[in-house]
Order: sequence, then C-alpha cells, then structure tokens
Amino acid sequence: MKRKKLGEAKGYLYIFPWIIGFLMFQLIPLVNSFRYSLTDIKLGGEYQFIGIENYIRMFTEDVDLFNSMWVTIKYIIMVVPAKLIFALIVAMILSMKIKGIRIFRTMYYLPSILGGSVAISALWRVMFMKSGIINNLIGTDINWLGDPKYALFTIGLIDIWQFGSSMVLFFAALKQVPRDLYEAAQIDGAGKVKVFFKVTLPLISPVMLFNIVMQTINALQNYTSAYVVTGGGPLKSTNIMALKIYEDAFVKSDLGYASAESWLLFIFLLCLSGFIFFTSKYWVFYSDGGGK
Amino acid sequence: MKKKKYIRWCSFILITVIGICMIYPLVWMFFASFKTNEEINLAVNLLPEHFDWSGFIKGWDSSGQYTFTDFFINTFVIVVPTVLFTVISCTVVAYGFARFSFKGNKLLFGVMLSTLMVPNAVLIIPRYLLFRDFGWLDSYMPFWMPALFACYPFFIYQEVQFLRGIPKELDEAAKIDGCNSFQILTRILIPILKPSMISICIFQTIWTWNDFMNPLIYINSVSKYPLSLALRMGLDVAASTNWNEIMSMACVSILPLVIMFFCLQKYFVEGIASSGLKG
Amino acid sequence: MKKKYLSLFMSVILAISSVVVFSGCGNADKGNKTDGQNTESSDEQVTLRFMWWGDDVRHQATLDVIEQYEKEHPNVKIEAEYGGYDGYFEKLTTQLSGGTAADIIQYNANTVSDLMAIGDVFVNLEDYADILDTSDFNQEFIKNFSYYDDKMIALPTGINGGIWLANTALFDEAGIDAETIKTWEDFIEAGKTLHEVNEEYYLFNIDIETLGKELLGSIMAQITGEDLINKDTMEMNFTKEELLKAFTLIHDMYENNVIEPAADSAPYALKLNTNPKWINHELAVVYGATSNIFDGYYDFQDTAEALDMPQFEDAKESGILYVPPQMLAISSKCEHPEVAADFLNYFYNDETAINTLKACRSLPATEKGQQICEENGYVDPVLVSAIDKAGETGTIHQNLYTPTEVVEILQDGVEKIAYNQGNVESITDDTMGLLEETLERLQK
Repeated sequence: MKRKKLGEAKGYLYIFPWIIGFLMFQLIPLVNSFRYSLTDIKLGGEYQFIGIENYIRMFTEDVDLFNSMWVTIKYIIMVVPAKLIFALIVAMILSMKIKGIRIFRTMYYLPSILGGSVAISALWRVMFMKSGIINNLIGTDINWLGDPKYALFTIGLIDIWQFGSSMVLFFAALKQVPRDLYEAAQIDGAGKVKVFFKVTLPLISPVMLFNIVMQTINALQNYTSAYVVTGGGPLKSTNIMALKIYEDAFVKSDLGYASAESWLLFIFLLCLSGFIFFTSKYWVFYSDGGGK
Repeated sequence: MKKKKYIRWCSFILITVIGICMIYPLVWMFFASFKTNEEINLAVNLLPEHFDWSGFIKGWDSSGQYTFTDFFINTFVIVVPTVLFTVISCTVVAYGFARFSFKGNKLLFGVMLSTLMVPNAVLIIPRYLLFRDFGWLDSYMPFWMPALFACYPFFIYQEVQFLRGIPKELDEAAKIDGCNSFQILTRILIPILKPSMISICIFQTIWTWNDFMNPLIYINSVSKYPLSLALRMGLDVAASTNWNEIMSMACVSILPLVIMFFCLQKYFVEGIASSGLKG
Repeated sequence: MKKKYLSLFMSVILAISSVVVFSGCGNADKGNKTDGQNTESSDEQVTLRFMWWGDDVRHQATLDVIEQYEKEHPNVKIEAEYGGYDGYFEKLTTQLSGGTAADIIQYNANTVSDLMAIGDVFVNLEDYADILDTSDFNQEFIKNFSYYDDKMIALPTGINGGIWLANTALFDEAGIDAETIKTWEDFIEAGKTLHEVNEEYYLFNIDIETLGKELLGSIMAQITGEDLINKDTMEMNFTKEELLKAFTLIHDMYENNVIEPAADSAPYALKLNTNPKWINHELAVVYGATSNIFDGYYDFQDTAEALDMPQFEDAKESGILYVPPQMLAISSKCEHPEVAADFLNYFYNDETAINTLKACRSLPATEKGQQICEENGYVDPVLVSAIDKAGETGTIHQNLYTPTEVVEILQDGVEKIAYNQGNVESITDDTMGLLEETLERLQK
C-alpha cells in the first residue's frame, strides 16, 4: 500500500513541470482570454466588464470580421485539399520503388522546413512582383500580389508548396498496405483505378483523417505569409482571421474585442474538427489486422 | 508489361517535373542573391551574369549598428535553451505519464492532448498581458519558460507513444539491478528514446528558428532581434528596396536549417512518420 | 528502503530544478535593474534607446549624429531602432503600453491623441528647460504641435509641407501647360490627355494608403473647411454629401486613368519612389510630404517643379499640408531623462549635428537650422518652394486628432473605390454607417 502511494507521488513529480506549465501558460491564459472577451480592455489604462457587448458587436457591426472568416474558409478550402492531393500523388509514385527516391524525398521535403520563415515570404514578394520572375517565366502579366482576385491564391501557394510532411505520412502508410491485397484485387480483375478506390484509399484513410485535421489547424494558424507578403491587402482579400485578431489587438489596441474574435475562431475550429470526426465514421476504415 | 513500363516512365517524369517546381524557388533565391537589382527584376536566366558578392556584404551590415552577426547570436540564444528545455522537460513528463500509474493519469493525459486544439490566437493576448505583468517583455523569457515547463503537448505525446512501445520488463530488470526510477530513465530509457529526442530537437529548432509572431509581439529592441525580425526590418526600410541584399540575407538565414536537414535527414523522416509532426 | 527515499529525493530535485532555474533568472533580472540605478548616481555608463522611422538617408545621418554625440560623451551609448513607417505606429503603441518603448521616440504628429490615450507616456520637456534649449524654434509651430494638456511633450523635427512634385518633361511631351492646372477638373483633364498620349503614362503617382490616410483629409478640408472629426465631441464635421463629393473625385481619377490602377501600384504603397513606372519616368506627378522626398527619390532635377495643389472651385481652404514631419519625445519610462534631453539639445541646436542631419527630416524647425541648410544648399530648391507655398496658404485644419479607427474606415472606403467595388454612392453610405457606429462607441 505504501509502495503504491510512493509510486503515485513519483508519477506526479515527473509530470509536475507540465502541470505548472499547463496552469501558467495554458489554462490561466485560456480562462483570462474568455474573461477579457467580456471587457473593454485596451493596451493601457483601466478596463471594465461590459458583458457580451463585444460578441454583439462582432455580429452586428463588424463587416470586416465576416470578410476575414470568409477569407479564412476560402483559404482552408483551397490549401488543404490541394496539399493532400499533391502529397498523395507523389507518395504513391514514390512507393512504386522508383530510382533516386532519396533525392526526391529531399526535394519534396525541403520546402516544408523552410516555408514558415520570413525568408520565404520575402522570396515570394520578389518572385511574384508584376515585373518579377514568375510572370517572366510563364509569360503572363498578372498582378499576383496587387489584385484581390489572385492575392490569396499567391499566399496559399506558399502553404501548398509545403506538402512534404503530409507526403511522408502517406508514404509510410502506403508501405503498410499488404502486397497480397493488391494481388488479390488484381486477380479478381479490378482495374488500377478501382484498386485505388477500393483497396488503397480505405487502408490509408486513418492517415488521411489525421492529415486533414492537422493541415486544417495549421492553415488556421498561418500568419507569417499573410503578414509579410501582403499585409492582409489588397482590399482585405488576404486578411485571414489570425491576422485580423493580431491587428485588432496590437494595432487598434482593442484587446477585449480581439479576445472575443479569437473565441469565435476557437469555436469555429472545434465545430470544424467535430464535423470532420463525425463524418469520419463513414469513410475512415480501421483495419484490425494491418495496423501496428 | 510494356504498358507497365510506360506508366513507370510517366510517373517518373511527373515527379521530376513537380520536384523541379518545388526546388526551383530555392535555387532561384540562391542565385538571385548574386544578381543586381535590375537582373532580379527583369532577367529570366537562372544564373547571374556575374557573381556579385556585394549583396551579402551590404546585407550583412544591415543597420550598421547591428549586423547579422548579432541577429545570428540572438537567434541562437533563443533557440538553443528553448530546444534543450523542451527536450528535457518533455522527456521527463512523458516518462511520468507512460510509466507511473497515479490517480488521474488518463484524465490529465487527455487534458494535455486537448490543449493541442486551442489555437494560438486565443492564448496570445492573455499571454502577452501575463508576460507584461511578469516584466518579461523585450526578453527571451517568453520563449524559454513555456519550453522549460513542457508546454509542447505534441512532443510529450510522441514520447509517450514511443515509451509505450518499450517493454516494461526492461524497467523491471533494471529495478532488480538496483536502479531507482530516475536512473531507469537516464540509463535505460533515454538511450532507447534517442531517435525520438533528436526528432524533437529538430522540430523545435525549426519552429523556434522560423517563429515570427512571438518575436514580433515580445521583442522590441533591435539589439535583441532574431533573424526573422531582422529580415522583416530589411524588407520595410522605406527608401530603396535592395532585393539582392534581402535575398542574400534570406539565404543566409535559412542556411543553418538546410545544413541541419541534410545532416539529420534520417531522423526527420522517422520523426514525421512516427508522429505526424509538421516541419 | 533508503534507496527508495533517495530516488524520491532525486525526483524532487529534478522536478523543482526547473523552478530553481526559473527563479534564478528572475533574480538575475532584478540584479541588472539595481545596477542600472547605481550608474545613474555615479554617472557611469548610460544606455538610451532612440527609435525612429525613415529612409536610408535619414538613417545614416541620424546614426552619424549619434556617433558624434557618443564621441563627445563616452559614458553614453545610444542604441538606434529604426525601420520604415509600415507597422511603426502599432509597434510604438504596443511598446508604450508594455512599458518597453525606447527612451527617445519619434512619432507622427497626427497620432498624438492615440498615444496619449495610453497614459502619461511622455515627460514634460519644460522640466528640462535648463538642459534643452527651445528658444530657437519656430514658436508658432511649438505652440500648435508641442503641447498636449498644457505640457510640452515633444519637439518638431522640422517643417513639412505637402508637395505636388511634377516631372514637367512629361507635361511637355503631352502638350500640357502645368500652369493651367488649377482645379481638380483641370487635373483630371490633364490626366486624360497624358494617358491618351501614351498608354503607359499616368498623371498621378499615389497609393491608397497615402490617398486615404493623408490626401483625403486635405480634400475634405477644401470641401468643409474643418477637421474631419471634432476632437472634443467626437462628432463628424462633414455630411454625407460632402464625403460623396470627395469620394466621387477619387472615383473619377481612377476611372479616367489619372491614377495608375490600384492593383498595379499596391506593392509600392508608402514607397512611391520604388514603383518601376516612377523610375522609368512614366508617372508625372507624385504627392507626398517634403520630409519624404529624399536624395535619390527622383532623378529629373532639371525638369522638376512643385505644382499647386488642385482646388475645388468653391474650396473653403487650401487643404495644403503644413505640419511638423515628426515629433521627438522622451518616454516617461526613461531612466535618464536628463541625458536624453541633453542629446535632444545636441540634436537640435549643435551646428555639427545640423550639418550632419541636413534636411533629412525636411527643413529644420529652428532658425539656426534653417539658416545653415539654406546657406549650404542642403535642401532641394523644389522642396523649398513647396514649403514656402505651404507656409503661405497651409490649411489650419490638419486632422491631428482623428482617431485611428476613423482613418481606417475612410481608407477602406477609398480602397473600395479604387478597386471599383460597387458604385460611389453605396460605398459612401456604407462608410457613413460605419463611421456613425464607431464614433458612437468612441463617444462613450
């Protein structure tokens, strides 16, 4: 009995740093964030409790907020599927045991490491200028960064460009698919396309789910490229939620209101992942034999 | 059989083309740093007409008072402790979760995982105010402290998974040999955990190195700027935008990450494949 | 059993070592602070931070002055913190409220009410009157711009006028006589003519930021003869019809290709001189403040001319900008305000400093500064003529106290017009609605 108590105490001791960190840097800020969202706190000076006024303002006055939500949704719809499709195609080709796989893996993965840096955002600004290399290469005269029609796409390209990590995950999942399943399907006379949809896709669907959720969270958090490359413009066409919250908080000094907005984003994220998990019942296939 | 070969060739060409598109911007950036401003804007050629080092020399001097030497040092001062704190604290906490049964273990583990879902945007404002009250603004504490207190649930999760894969019999054997619980961790488990710990180091290095939002909010003095802020400063100096200087410094600033990637490639792939971390 | 306790002990050590490290750091921090206080009394090393925005010319000149001052005062180290204006204001407000702002701060005169809303962020310079001599300044300027709540919080760095800098070579090519451009109608006609001569040509080089945040205020002053907002009551000083008139003007300029399409000029916002069209002499007139026109901004010295600002026929006042380019203040968090004041005194009144700074912050606001600059020809004659014009007819209403939120809403409206997002009337309606809601909130 005593021994067990001692074991318990030790367990708590080892996780003690996390408990402190969780309280100080996560739980208390989370509670405070909600508390602030009910006040008119600014960067300086006193503040007072104003109830749900910030939330009312969000839905009645702030046109920009709807724009930012819409931009964020567009961004996710554009980036996440594109990323996953590229990742899957490349992973499948690589799993065909092609020569030089290491070189390819390096080529595809390198952007994922660098993509989040200011350096790449700076590069994008130079490459996508109207007189820049991209227009010169493909012979167009498009205003990639100045035209509201293209700006979000241009920013999204940075994100799509970083499909390497999803690819590595797919690649690992594809390796786990037992060979004999393919052979069995082929003996049954199924074509390549059918094999892909009936055998491959179901077997990698758990990884697919994981990738979708992670990439969605990542896309929601992305901030650097929109800030550095376009600064939210032109015409607020790249003013994603993360950027709007930052600006309301630290430019307009409206911390209380920005907190309320961040909760809207949080709830949106929860609904979205809830939705994805809910539908996953219907398309994610958990094999009991093939897994680890 | 002929058809199969044909498909293979097509696939090979396809991924080569995509691969070149992927890598082209980086190669272009490298060569652009040797070009003149006019060349960057107008020429389609990948290679510069002359290799011109002035972009590097002028760019490195940056503001005059502070050079990229300072910004590199600052970045290291942020990154190295953050990475060390993270790997140590996460390993210890993961050990606690994976090897000890105590009341609420499962619950706390669940709570820890659920913090993954909280977007950064929600925490950034209260954290800013908290750190302001602590007097931590314009210092590196906002980077070091969360690392010291294991605020990276993903890493803990990854290590717990790894530890669960190590048979408990190993611990028992060590216990019989007279090791205490801490010695079991340092002598038996850490050597086995090494690949997982290295991948944590790698990813934390990348994240902290590339981090832009946190320095933007917490660091004010140019003398304390990390590379990300220094690059951004170079971009917005109003007068003349010297793209070759910016491209040179952009290249230099990501060079350590590229070198690290080539040296530790094996761990990268293992790290992602085992936990799904994003670079 | 002993071993068990030993291992428990070890775990405790490990777990709380983190706490020890943490508190250790905290102590070290406090240690530094007391060090800082000691130096104050013993007059040893003093470090000040000086924060400004500008261009390369201004950066270099200011750095040189800092170096000179440091040479004369070996115990003082001044850390420079500078960049472009993009993002400067947000950085400043965050730092002031976080208590981490620089000791010497450059700010834009029209942001003063937002800055002072944070709290008592600047020291009263009159407290340091024995160190910092302000007698040589243009007293009119000091009276108008230095005081806030009866405290002298800052000093102007110079005299700034709005300039319509024209490349008359393009006018000649299109057969336009610059002298005949008096009204906005003339201006638009000239723009049409120029664009017809060559499709690549546009009359007016301006970006949406400058247009919406600065020029719109001037245009509105012509229409109403008032500031945009009454700073005491926080009410609008204009009607919907008046705003519509201004917005229609902006719409017409884009519609008739007087201004380069917004999408093309957007990447050069606040850096009009980096627009390739400007460099290639395809844009005829740039609007800006004289403080922003630096060496190398334009290269057509022989054909450069400062035009008059176009007017409405029934304009109530000129609308011409005539303000200090920036103000310099000392943070109330500064630990050595007397050293900072001494540096400012050097910065403004020392001849070497004036000769180093030249006109990098427009024409100086001090008698001696102006004299030295004029004698040595430090100021571009075109700029001098613009400043003279502005001095004669400059508007009284410079919109110094317009809240940022209001400026943002107006700029959003201008941006929508520039990108042709709907007709002018509905954009005006939307803008008025947003302004009313925001002002209602601010009035509370």
